[in-house]
Amino acid sequence: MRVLLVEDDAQNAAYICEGLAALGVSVQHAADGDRGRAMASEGHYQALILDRRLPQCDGLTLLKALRAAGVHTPALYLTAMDGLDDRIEGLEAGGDDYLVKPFHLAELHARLRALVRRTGNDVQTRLRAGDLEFDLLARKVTCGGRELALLPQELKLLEYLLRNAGSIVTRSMLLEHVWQIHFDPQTSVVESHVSRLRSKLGASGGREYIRTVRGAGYLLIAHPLAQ
Amino acid sequence: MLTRSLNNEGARLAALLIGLFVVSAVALGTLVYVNAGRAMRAELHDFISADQGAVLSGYRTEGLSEAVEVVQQLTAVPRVAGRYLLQGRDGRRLAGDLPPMPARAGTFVVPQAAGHEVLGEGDFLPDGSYLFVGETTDRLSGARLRILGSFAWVVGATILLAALAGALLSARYLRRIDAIIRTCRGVEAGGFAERVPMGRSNGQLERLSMTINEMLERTASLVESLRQVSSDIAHDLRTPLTRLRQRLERARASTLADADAAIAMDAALADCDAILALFSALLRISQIEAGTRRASFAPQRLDMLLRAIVEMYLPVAEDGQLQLALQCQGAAEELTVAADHMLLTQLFANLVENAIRHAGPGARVAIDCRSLGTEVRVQIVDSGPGIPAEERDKVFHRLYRLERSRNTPGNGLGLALVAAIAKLHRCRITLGDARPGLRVTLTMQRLGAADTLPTTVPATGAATMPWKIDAV
Repeated sequence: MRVLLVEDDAQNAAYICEGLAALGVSVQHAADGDRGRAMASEGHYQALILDRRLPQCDGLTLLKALRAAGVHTPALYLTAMDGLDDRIEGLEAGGDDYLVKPFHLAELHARLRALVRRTGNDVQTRLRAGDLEFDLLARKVTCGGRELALLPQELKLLEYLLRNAGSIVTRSMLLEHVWQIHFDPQTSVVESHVSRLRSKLGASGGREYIRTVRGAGYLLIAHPLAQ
Repeated sequence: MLTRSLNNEGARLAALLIGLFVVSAVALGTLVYVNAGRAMRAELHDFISADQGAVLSGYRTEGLSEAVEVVQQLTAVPRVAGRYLLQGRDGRRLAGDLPPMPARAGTFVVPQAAGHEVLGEGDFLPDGSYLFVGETTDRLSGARLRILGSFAWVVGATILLAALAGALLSARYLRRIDAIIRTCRGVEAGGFAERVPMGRSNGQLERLSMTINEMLERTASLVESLRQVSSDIAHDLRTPLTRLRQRLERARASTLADADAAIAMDAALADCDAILALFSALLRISQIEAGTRRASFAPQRLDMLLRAIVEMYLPVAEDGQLQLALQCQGAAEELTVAADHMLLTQLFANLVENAIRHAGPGARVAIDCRSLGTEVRVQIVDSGPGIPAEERDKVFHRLYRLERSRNTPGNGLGLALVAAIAKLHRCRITLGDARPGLRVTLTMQRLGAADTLPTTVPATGAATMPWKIDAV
């Protein structure tokens, strides 16, 4: 994965570059908005990481300019503002995701992967993982040919996991995409729903589809038969 | 209520002014009336003495016949009423235009026809005949009437002027005071940007306004710096903590072989996460308390919002062996409020989480949402241990925890966040006893019931306490 990071704080940039590099992501760094715009327009990146506050040209203006120039690389904002309102503003300016500083690198990595994946997946009508199949049009899930009785929220949860099959999704990503919740509930909402879904999937085939990744999130195994 | 009491204040001020003016006008009028009367009586006496002198000097030089002649000359000019009388010892009139009367010395008033009166002085001449010289009091009483008339006008005009001045003054002053009250109320409702409008004069009110503004400026800057400092602290601590967590995570990944070290690092990671969550929650509360989010309020249906929350928490409740039920009563528009969707979701999520966490296995959590007049009431009732009455208002404070829940998960900020969100939404929240258990009651103004979006400063006394914790 090739990613461009536009961030003026050198220490933070080094932290992100090192951390992502350790996770196998190739990161290039631009220290200001103008340079960031030039690099994003020329280079072929799979995703952009933009700081919301930049000298000269802030993250919002930068992305608006890029979108206007026809650059549609998915973009993720980093912001120090504990964005309640900033989130909407940022997404309206053409951003695809949003992460409040400070964040865990695992979270950033998972979100980048989801962004990159999302761009290629839009026209699919069926999602598959092993003998698990999700018919997006009929909203039906079959496991080894047998239809599963899933509740609407379980369908949403499974769809999101399937779309990101093979990569880790974090608790906050699930909360945002399945329940539209942008805060951290103290109780185990995600855990309870996942365990329910897991047991429904398990009851039909007995195979492990959803794996818990300690301290990071969940992983839907893309090819459970190959395990 | 505010306007009416101010009007009363104005009326009182005007009445006071009128009373003051009338009293001073009456005092002045009495003084003028009495003094003018005295002066005119003195003048009358001068006239009388002069005429008396003329008759007496005639009598003294040439006897009674000359006195008769002088009186006849004096009465030659016809007048509305008689003024002179000279009568002999036998009581017969010798001269004059007054009818004969019983002789009497001294000053007295003789009534005349057509309501006229003559004030005069009677005197016996040496030969025993009697002389009375008088003057009609018409001029005196006429002047008195004119004085009284003028004063009636003056007093009337005074009342009018005083009323006008009172109204103008009170309107001017009370408008200013009203502005000060409105500003203070606005500040109380969270708008530190509000200032008392300043006038041009240099009076007390101006100085009061200026003092209030300076005080507000100072308070605003203190609050702002406090807010800044706490978010700076939270933010500046969060960044190194995140890096610490990252390092721990990497270290954890490379010590898989050493089980003890791995357990210790997992614990350290969990602690990091707890501290980070605490900072996030603190930042979030101070951000909500800043009140800037009211601008993004939109109509929200409470029944739909609660349904989503119940769906979300149902598996959690079932895992904890609790029952979770929702009941909604009222038409869609009766259950619609002006709110921030995310914050209101968080408010109810926190309350439901609290109920689930503290009520324990086997308990029941019931949510009831209904429209009551212009308000919507949501009750969350659990059958858990409840909160002792004396602690009910404390649980909304930041980091406050009940003694018995010290060891349950949670950071003591859940209800503080609930309180901040409720306050932002002008939502009343009360804690009561469900016997057994806790009953949380939230009451919100329905959208379109009174004022739609609560962006304006409330005008009534009741609305200035939009949010209040009652320990029932």
